[in-house]
Amino acid sequence: MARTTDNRPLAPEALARLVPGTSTAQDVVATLGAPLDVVQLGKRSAYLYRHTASKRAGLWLVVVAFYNVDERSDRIWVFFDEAGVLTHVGATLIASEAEYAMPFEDLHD
Amino acid sequence: MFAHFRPSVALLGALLLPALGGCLSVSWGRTNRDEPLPSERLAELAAGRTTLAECLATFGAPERVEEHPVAGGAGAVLVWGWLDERDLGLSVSVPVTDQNSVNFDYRTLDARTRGLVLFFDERWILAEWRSGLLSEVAADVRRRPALVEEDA
Repeated sequence: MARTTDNRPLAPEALARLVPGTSTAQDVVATLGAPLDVVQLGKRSAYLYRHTASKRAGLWLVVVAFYNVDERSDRIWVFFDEAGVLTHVGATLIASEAEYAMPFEDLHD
Repeated sequence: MFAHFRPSVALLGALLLPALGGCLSVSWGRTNRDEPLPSERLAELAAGRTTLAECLATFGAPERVEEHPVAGGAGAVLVWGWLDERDLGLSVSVPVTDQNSVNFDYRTLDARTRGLVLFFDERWILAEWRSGLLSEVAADVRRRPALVEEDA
């Protein structure tokens, strides 16, 4: 079994401090740190924050091998207007739900 | 005496022979990445009416955001994706000489990278949406090259 993570987990309480219409890009960076990606959308912009957790499980029975990889991510996209004021926030926080499993198990059901 | 062997026994022996030598392996694997979006919510998407805020509240954070040129400005395209990939493999390795061996590898790969692509206009209103295999529905979603400002 093996586990890998990428970047730090994203805290829901930090997300709660971001207020569309009030928070600025400076506030967001002060709260969440440096973004993983910055996308220019005309005169507007969007920042990406992501933490990924991956769990791998394998079972080798002489000549038969079973393995499974389950990868889930915490993602936050924040959108800013021309003045750098936060307009939208999209969040998915499921990295902690990554599981060790076998290939015949359905994790997404 | 060999004439009394059934064909199935001979076949089994032929299959087990390399296995006993540690040269045959069968693998069954699966890779999951993120969760599928609720399909019943896709039916609620309405071009010209659904907003970016509603989509983010329904589907969460997308995997990708890219600029999408629209008439009179710049919109955005948002991409969600999830993967459920199954991998079944059979590998046979037969020694030929003391130094070399011949490998045969048969592999079936069931790649099912599915996703949702939403196009928004400059007012953050949904203009178009697609769902299906990302290799098809997001084939034209690319990042615009960054502008390089040159000194005069």
